[in-house]
Amino acid sequence: MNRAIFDFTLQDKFSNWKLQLPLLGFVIMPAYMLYLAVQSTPERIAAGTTIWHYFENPAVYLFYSYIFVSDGFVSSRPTGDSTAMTLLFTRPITRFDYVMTKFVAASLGVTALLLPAALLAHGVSFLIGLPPVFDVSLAASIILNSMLASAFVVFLHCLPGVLGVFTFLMLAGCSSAGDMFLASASSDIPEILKYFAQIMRNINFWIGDFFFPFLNVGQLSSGVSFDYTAIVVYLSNITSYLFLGTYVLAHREFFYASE
Amino acid sequence: MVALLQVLILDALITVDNLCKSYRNGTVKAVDGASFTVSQGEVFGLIGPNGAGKTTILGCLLALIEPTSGKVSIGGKSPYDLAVKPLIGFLPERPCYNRWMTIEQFLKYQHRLAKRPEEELPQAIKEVLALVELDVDPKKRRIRELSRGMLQRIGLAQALIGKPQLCFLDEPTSGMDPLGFVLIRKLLLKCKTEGITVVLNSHHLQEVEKVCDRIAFIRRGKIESVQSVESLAQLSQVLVVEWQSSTGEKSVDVATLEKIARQAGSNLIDNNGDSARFAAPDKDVAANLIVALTGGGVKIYQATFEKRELVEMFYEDSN
Repeated sequence: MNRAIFDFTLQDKFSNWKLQLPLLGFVIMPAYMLYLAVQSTPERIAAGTTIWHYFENPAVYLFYSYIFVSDGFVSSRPTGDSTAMTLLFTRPITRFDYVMTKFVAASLGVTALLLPAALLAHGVSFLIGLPPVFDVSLAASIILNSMLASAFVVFLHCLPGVLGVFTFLMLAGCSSAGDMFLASASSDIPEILKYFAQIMRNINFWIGDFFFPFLNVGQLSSGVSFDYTAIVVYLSNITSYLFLGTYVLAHREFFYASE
Repeated sequence: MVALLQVLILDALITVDNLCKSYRNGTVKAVDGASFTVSQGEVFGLIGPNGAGKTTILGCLLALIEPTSGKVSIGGKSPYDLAVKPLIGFLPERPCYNRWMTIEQFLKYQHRLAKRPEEELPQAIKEVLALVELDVDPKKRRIRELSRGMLQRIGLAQALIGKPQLCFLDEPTSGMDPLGFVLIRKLLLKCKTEGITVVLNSHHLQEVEKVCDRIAFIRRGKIESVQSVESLAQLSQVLVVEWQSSTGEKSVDVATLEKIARQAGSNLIDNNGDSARFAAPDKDVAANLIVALTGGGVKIYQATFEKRELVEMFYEDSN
């Protein structure tokens, strides 16, 4: 763990006025969504599931992780900018240290956004008489999935420049688009768009199941026996992303002459 | 760290042995068998035209580029060794700094990355800003607001903030005004007096020849020669002689000029009727040539050494 990079990754984001307002918006968003859902949905239970869907949405975790992992988010520079890393790796920092520091800092950053958001949604839910949103299993799910998303985005960050950004945008974009199509599944959409919608849904499920299988702590022990497979998959995913990130970073060349 | 510093003082600090770096499956050879050493406290210049492979060599020395073959060591250790990194300061050619940060935030970040003691920080920032002669409020000015020359000064400041024993400067005068050139020379001299080793990379020799101890000439990835600045001064220089040619008077013919030049130990390069260029290896030959020409009836009114870049002289000479 490198303290300077850790502080830079977290403090820099939270102390920047350009980001403070959007970050506050992210914290308020689920509670506001819940409020809107209650206004528009006659069945109140459905409103509660809307919020659950927010906290298990891969696109939310990917985007929040990206904010913290990216070195140049504030200045709109893409993630994995090799010119910024050029200077960094002339300092006494190992590639593994860098990957682990980014992973820990981003996990904490995403958790620090989503936990208050869940608590706020819980408060609103309580006020309007809905079943409780927040419980230990949701908190554990948020923490564990923040870690998985951060590990995945750190891996993307380690990929050479454009590749990392492209992969991130494709995954986050497909995930969001798939979500939108899922949400509008029951509504009438033109026939031609149905094929497109199906593709997006498939990609959305594929990303969710393959790259980013959401770990629902509440459901782990709800069956007959404890679901050890989900834990093994979760741990192997995090380990693989961190290992691959370190490997890619160790083999990347950081000089403009090589680009 | 102490053991490493002792090794550095006793032996060559940097050893580059038969370094090769290829791209595109070996079809492009950026560096082709480069070998040289740099001693502790030396200011060493890597000089060559664009695309010669200077930056790639620096990249290998900084462990940013993996050599295809050959060996690079700093104080007997691999440049990837973490014990080597705190000794290093690096100024990149292209400023790639965190643009949204204030100068103070940026220097603080670099200071912490260099693992310097936290209590040194305020003094360190003051010192490096004074060294690079940057008179701005570091708390208010952001990196993105700085001009190219100021960015270069910030680059130098961050390179020096870790109190390095070894500085790698990639095109240090890039984007700088004439005052900046003077500043670079002053800084290099300061490094020299403090025993800091400097490896600098430039395609403008004029800016560095006064402070470099030795210079490596690179072309197409190969080190053509490593020479001391004193020996470079002995490379052939060109003396331009201009004479008065009165109307009606017979102009000086080429054969006579060639004969006189040979007698004085020089060679005629070309003749333009009322001026000629002679190769003059040193001042003695130039003086003899002027005397011989005057004795031969040439009415000289001006004789000057042609101003040429040393790199140009070197490559012409080697050709």
